[in-house]
Amino acid sequence: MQQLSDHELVSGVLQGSPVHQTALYRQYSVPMFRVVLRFARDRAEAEDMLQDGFVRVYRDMVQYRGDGALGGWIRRIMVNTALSHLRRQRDFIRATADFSPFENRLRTEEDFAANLDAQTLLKYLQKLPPGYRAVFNLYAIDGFSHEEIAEQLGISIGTSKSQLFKAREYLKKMLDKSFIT
Amino acid sequence: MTDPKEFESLDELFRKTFDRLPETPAPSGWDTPSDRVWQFVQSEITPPRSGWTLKSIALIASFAVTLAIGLYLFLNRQKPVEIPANESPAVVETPAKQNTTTGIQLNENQSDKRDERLTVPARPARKKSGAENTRQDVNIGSPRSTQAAESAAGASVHEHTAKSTDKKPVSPNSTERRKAELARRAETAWKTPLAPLSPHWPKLKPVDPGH
Repeated sequence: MQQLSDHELVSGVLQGSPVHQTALYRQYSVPMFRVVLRFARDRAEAEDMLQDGFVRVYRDMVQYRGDGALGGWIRRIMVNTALSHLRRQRDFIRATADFSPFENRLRTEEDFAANLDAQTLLKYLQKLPPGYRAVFNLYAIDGFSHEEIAEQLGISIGTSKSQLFKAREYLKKMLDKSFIT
Repeated sequence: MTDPKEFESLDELFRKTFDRLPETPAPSGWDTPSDRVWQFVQSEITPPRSGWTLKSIALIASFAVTLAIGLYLFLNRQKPVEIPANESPAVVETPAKQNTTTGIQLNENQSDKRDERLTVPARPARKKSGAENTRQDVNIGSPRSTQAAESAAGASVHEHTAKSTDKKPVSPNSTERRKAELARRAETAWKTPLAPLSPHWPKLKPVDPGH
């Protein structure tokens, strides 16, 4: 199926055309599902986030001004939806994970790239506590600053930094274990 | 303490791995959402259907049926019982009682007035439309016609009581009155000679007794 341009998709969706609604979903469902999978603890939760996010996309399409890429706008909505899902969890930010200090050194990037694929990394991410996962995703992958993260999650900047540190250590430990075994 | 460069390499590893994913979904399907997601989204964004839904049709149909039944019952209740105006109401003979208080008790003055109204002989039926003739009929169902019938019955009762005290006044709507009316009609019917047969009546062949 031929991909429609952002302008065509937006105008079609605004006119309520089911064809354009379906095309928009087909075009962006996979990349957006990859985004929300990073924030969710499992696939089911990610699907909940995705469907809520797309409902918001269709409802708020009027607010899209067209000054940026449609994919970026949808991605922001998906991240916000994922964060609002995480905030609903009671133990969203907690000083958890009583992990022991890891002894093995982290391998080089080339080593990881050779052996780890996105699916494996995703599994490690999903094992993180929700607070660690959210801060690591926002800082390391989506490129937010600690100030922005603190504002989005309603936490202090210090909490954001400590959550990131713990998330990194936790991931390293898991990665090293995977290399040892 | 962990080397910050190691952290940076960790961040970069995750960032590059997720950013460099191909546009096409993985063959294993780990990054493809299930169909229920789109079904849910579609149900949420589709506006409610306008026009006739099954529920509204059922609601209107039940209302129409109720209305029809109600109308039918109402009209049946109002159905007039035709009593010719020139016919005198029947009187049922009952055992004589002195100073009877049952039945319709009429004030003498009122009954006299009614007599004046009711003793006027019925006008001979004019050869006009049927609608006019039916105006003289008495409708028992409606309040006005009930009053008329009551007064007629009262008048007859009064007349009868004036002649004989053996007869008891009867309510115009009572079963006895109707029975008496039917008996009177049957008696009249028996006395009336039968009309001759129509000349177009088919002639029957006599039956041959030999066969």
